[in-house]
Order: sequence, then structure tokens, then C-alpha cells
Amino acid sequence: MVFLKFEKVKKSFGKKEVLSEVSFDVKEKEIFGLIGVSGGGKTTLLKILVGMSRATGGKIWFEEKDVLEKPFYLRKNTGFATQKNMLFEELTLAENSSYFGKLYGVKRGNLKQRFVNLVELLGLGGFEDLQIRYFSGGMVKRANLLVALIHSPKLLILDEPTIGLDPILRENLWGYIHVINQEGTTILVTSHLLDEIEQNCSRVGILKSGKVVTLATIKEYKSKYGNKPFSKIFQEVMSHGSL
Amino acid sequence: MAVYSIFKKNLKTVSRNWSYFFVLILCPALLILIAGVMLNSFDSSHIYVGVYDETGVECGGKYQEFFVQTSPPGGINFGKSRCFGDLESCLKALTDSKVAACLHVLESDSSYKVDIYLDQSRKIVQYYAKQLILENVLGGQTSFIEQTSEELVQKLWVYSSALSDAKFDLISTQGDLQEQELILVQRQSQLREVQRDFDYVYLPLKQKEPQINSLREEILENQENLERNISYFREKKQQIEIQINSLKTFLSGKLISGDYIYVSSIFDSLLADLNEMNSALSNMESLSNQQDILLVLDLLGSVIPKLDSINQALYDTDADLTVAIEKTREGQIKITEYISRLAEAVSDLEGFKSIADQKGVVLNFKEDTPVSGDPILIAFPLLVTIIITFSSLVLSNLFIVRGVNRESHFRELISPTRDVSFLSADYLINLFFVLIQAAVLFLVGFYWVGISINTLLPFAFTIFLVGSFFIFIGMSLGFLIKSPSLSMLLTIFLVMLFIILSDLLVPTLLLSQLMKLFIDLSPFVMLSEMLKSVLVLEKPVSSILWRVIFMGVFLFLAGILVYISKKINKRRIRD
Repeated sequence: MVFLKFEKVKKSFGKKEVLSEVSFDVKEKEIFGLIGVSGGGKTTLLKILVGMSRATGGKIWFEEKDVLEKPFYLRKNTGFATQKNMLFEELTLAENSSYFGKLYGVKRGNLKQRFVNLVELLGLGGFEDLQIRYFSGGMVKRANLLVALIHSPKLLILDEPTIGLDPILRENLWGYIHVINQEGTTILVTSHLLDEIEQNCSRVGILKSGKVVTLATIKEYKSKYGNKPFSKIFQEVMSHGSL
Repeated sequence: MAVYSIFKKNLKTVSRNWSYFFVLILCPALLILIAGVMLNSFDSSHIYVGVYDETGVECGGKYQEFFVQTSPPGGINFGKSRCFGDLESCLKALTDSKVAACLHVLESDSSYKVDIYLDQSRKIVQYYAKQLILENVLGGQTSFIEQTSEELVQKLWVYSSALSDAKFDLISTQGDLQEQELILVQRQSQLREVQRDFDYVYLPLKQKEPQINSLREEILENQENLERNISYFREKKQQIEIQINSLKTFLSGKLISGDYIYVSSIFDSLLADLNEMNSALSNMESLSNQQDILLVLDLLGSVIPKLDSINQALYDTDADLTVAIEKTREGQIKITEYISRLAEAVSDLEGFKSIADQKGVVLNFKEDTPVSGDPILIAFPLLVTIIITFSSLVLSNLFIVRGVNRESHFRELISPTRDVSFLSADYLINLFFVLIQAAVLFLVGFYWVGISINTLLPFAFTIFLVGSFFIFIGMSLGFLIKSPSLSMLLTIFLVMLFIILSDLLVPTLLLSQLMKLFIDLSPFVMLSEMLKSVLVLEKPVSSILWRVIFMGVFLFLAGILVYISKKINKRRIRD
């Protein structure tokens, strides 16, 4: 069973085509990296996936269910964290997670336990009752991640999760992401930071001119383009085309 | 569950924002406080009136005479009037809003003449200034009018009675004239009979008048002849007697006594005969009826002119009678006309009397109506309406606009919770705050204004109904207009529109029926009227039933609108 499949997904803003027949699939329990140049349509594709944007063509299948026709199943099983704060600043971490957990239909008992586990996992202990507006940048990222995971999603979508963080915080965050992944959550992540992608993703798709031009494991990229830094490989792909 | 969670989250986000507290609690309380102070100081006697009195210096002319001296005791006086030396400066003060009206007291012999200038640009002030002036002037004139009308009525009664009497007199005179006419006609008829009888005698006599005159002359001539002959006879007789006496004397000597005696006896016999003849003539003279005839003829001669006069007099009398009859008839016609006119005049006077009798309608502007005269209580529903309208529209709009422009809104959008849950929770949180505000207002009204506690339920129901409508409208604008500033501006514009389309700017009673109907259906006006019925008049909810029904329909439509707006907002984000 294909976990998540994009099938000729298109998106245009007026006459400008941002995505043209994007097709790839994400396997269950992997960390899938989607990279591309700025404005290449990564975020747009993720927004289409979660229903925040409407595709102008194509299909998306999540556990063999048509996401574009019936979005609720995917929404219920997806966590989404972006580069921006998507929490209510006036609410505490506990309140935010409780609120969003209930929006996802999590039972109160489960919610409490899940919250405790995630707080421990993400190192947010002691900040449960602090309003988000008083959080630092790194804490906000982790808080967003916590809320995105509060309903135990099968798929976690991360859009530039480490942007604006210092290297230590980035490393810590990726550590949490790996733990989450090991718990069985599939990760779909976009990032400009190619070294992060290289170190943390099992497979990487490169988006160019609105299409996924290559899709391979890091090992496959290295065998094709030589044992060079992934940033060099990315540059070559962007200039030459597919794998 | 989801609705409750969203509601709780909303409650927390709002309650941790002090600006909401300011808008919800402090602003209304401050608004009512300021409005209360303002309304308490409201009195039309505060209006300044500018006066330019051209009949005297420093308003000492007719203005002083009428407006100040004759103003009713205890009534409104122009205590706050300002005198001006010329009209221009008074009008300038009017346009500068230093006075509310300019009174130009004019020269006039018979009455107090005043031109009044009001500020056309401020209708409400114009209304109050006009009212103040009218109250003052009418107050001064009321007693005068009352007194005058009493006298008028009395005189009308007198004139009416006099005219009625005159009418009856004329009718009586008309009857007399009719009788007189009959008498005159009878007299004329009799006169004409007399005239006919007279003519029967007179005319033949008149015809005989020349003959009588001729006869008289003949008789006169015969008489003269007779007298002359008798006179002649008596002269001859005297001569004969003398001659006889001479002859006797002569014969006495000549003749013997016997002869003489004989002759003397003959002579005596002759003398005796002469005397007898003389006597006979004297008798004839004395016995002659010539004189009587003449007398008769003279009488006849003198009678005929008199008869002529009588005849003329008869004709003249007849003509006079004819004229008199004509005049009598004309008099009757005129009297008939006079009677008719008098009847009209009496009728008119009766009409005037009935009008004058209506002077009993005396206008008194009383304030002891069943509705309290407390200006704050009267204004309280409107204040509550303004606050609830403003806060429910602005609050709900602000809430939605802030919500949809947050990044967290996207997290809500991608959650599996349905739109209706968000809408319900957003509505409930806004309603919750509006009801809190309403509760604060009710407490203010209860403790400060004196509204009854019994009005709480209808008050809450009314606020719920109309507040919900405004919340839906505010939410719809929040969903439809993405820009927070534009959305807020539109909401405030809508609030202003509601306020403008109400009694605040122009009394709706002065508007056309169509416009009035349109304004009556405004939710703002409905809320104001419902609260007035409930709070001020303390009427039951049934008295505002039709408004409740209309508001129910409006609320339903607003609910549909907010749902569509939410969908549009979502579609816009996705596109």
C-alpha cells in the first residue's frame, strides 16, 4: 500500500504555473525530504496536501484515499509545522496543545498523557503553563512541533522546521524528529538547509520548474554524482536535470 | 466538544487582552457617565437668544415691553438674551453659534412685530430655539387672548341678540307695512269712488260755469235796470208828489172846498197810489230774489274753483296714495332683504359664537405623563443600543479579523473540525461578551438610572436577539474583508450608517412613509424601540412581537450570510 502519493499535481496562480504535474510518493515511516530553489513550489505543494490550497489538477492519495476529494482523513492523521508560529500566543503551551488536540478529536486522558510525553521528548518541561508569546524562537519551534504531534499523526509535515535556529537547536530539533520517526511517524520535510537533508532524510526529491525531477536516497545521489557535498549535487541536478 | 474547546480558547485569548476589557467594560461605563452628565445639564433655557431691538436702546423698547414684562410668571424667560446694536452683528453671532436665534424687534404701531432668524445649519438647535421662543411668546399672549376672546364672546352675544331683535322688529314692521299697504289700497279705492261721485257733480257744473257767469251778468244787468227804473220812478214820484202838493196848494185857493176836497182827495188818492206803487216797488225791490240768485251765482262762481282745487287735490291724493303704496311695497322688499341679511348675520354670529365658545381648548404642556421625565432613563435605551450595536459589530469583526489573519488560523483550517463548529464557537464567545456588557449596562441602569429588575429577562432576550444579528454581521465582514484596517473601517462605517438611519440625525416622524418604514426595519432602531418598550415603558414582550419576528428573520438571514462568508474566506485562502 502506498502511504502517500502525488499524481500529476498541478497548481497555477493565474497564468503562472507553480506546479506542473508533480508526481512522487512517500513511503510509510520514512523521512522524506523535498528540496528546491526558493519559490519553487515546495510550500505550495505542502499546502495543497493539507488542504490549505486548492490544486488545479492531479490527485493525492493518502493510504489509498483521495485527499483532494475527502480531506478529513488526511487532516485527522497529519501534523503540520511550518517555519512560522501557528499557535495562539495568548495561550499557554498546555492550552494550545489541549485546544488543538480536541480539534483533532483526541480524548482527554490520551491528550494529557501524550502532552506529558511530548513535553518530555521536546524538552519543554517547566514551560507548560507559560503563554507562547513569552517563548524563545527555538521553544516556539518545539511548541509547534508538539502541537503538530499532539494527536499522534501518521504523517508529520515540516516546512522549513529549523529555519532561524542556531546549529545546536537545529541539531536538537532533528533529534526529536528522529525520535518521532522511530515511533512510527512518517516525516515529510522541506528545507533550504541541504546538509540537514543529507544527514536526516532517507529519500530526497528535488523540485525544479514545478516538477520533481529526481527522487532518490542520499546513497543513490552520491553514487550518481560522486561523493561530494549534497549541496554540490543539488546544484548539478538543478543545472542538468534528472538523475 | 470542539465548540466548547474553541469557545474556551477564544475566552482565554480575549480575556488576556486588556484592550477587550477596555472596550467591553470601561468604554460603555464611561460613555453612560458622560452621557448622563450631558443629559442632566440639558435644558432649553440654556439657549442664548440674540436681540436687536430697533424700537429702543439695549433691548429697552418693545422687546422689554412685551417679551420681558409680559412673560408668564414661572415661565421661560429670555434671561439669557444678548442685545446687539444691529442685525448684522446678531446674525454673525448666530452663524458663529454664539446665539441660537436672532430676534429683530421692528417698529410697528399696532402690534409687536418681530423677525426671527434661526440657525438653519443645526436642526435640533433650531427646533429647541423655536420652541423656546414660541413658549415665551405664547405664554405672554395666552392671557391676553383669553381675556379678549371672553369679551369678544360677550359682545358677540349682545350683537347677536340685537340683530335677532332687529330681525323680529323688521318682520313686525314688514307686517305693519303690509297692513298699511292694504289700508292705502282701500283708501285709494274709496278715494276713487269719491272722485267718481265728485266728477259726477263737478264735471257738469264745470261745464255750466260759463252759462252761470253769463246768467249772473244778465241778472246783474237786470237788477241795475230795475234799480235805475225804480230810482227813476221815485224821482218822478217825488216830482209828481211835489207837483200834486203844489197843485193842491194852488187848487186849494182856486177851488171850492168841495171841489177842492174832491180834487184833493183825488190827489191824495194819486199820492196814495204813488206811495203804494213805491211801496210795491220797494217790496219788489226788497222782495226781488235777484240778490239771492246773484248770491247763489256768486257762490257757484266761487265754489267751482274750490271744486277745481278739490278735484286737483283728489287727483293729487290718488297719485300720492299710489306713490305711498309703491313706497310701501319697496319698503317691504327692502325689509325682506334686510331680514334675509340679518338672518345671515345672525347665523354668522352664531358660528362665531360657537368658535369663540371653543376657546376652552387651552394647551398646557405637562410633564406628568406615565412615562418618567428623567432624561437619562429616556436616553438609556438609545445609549444601550449604541453601545451594544457598536461593541457587537466591532467586537465580532475585530475577533474574526484578528483570527483569520493569524498563522494559528491555518492550523485551525487544516484540522478536521467542521466550519459550523468554529462559527458557533466564535458566535458564542462574542455573544458571551456582549451579554457581559449588557449585564454591566443593566447594572448601571438598575443602580443609576432606576430601571426595574422585572425588565431583566425581556432586556436580555432583546439584547440576545439583536446582538446576535450584529455579531453575525460583524463576523461576516471579518470573513469577507481580509484587510484588518479595511474591515474595521467598514464595520465602523456600518455602525455609523445604523446610527444615521435612526432618530438621532432626523426625527423619523418627519420623514416619508417609505423612508420611515425602511428606518423602522433597521435593527438598530428595532433594538432601540424594543429596549424603550421594555425598559422605559415596561411593556411585556408581546408588545414587541412583530419586531421580534422581524429580528428572527434577520437573524436567520445573517446566519446564512456568516456561513457563506466563512466559506468564501476559506476558498480565498485556498485559492
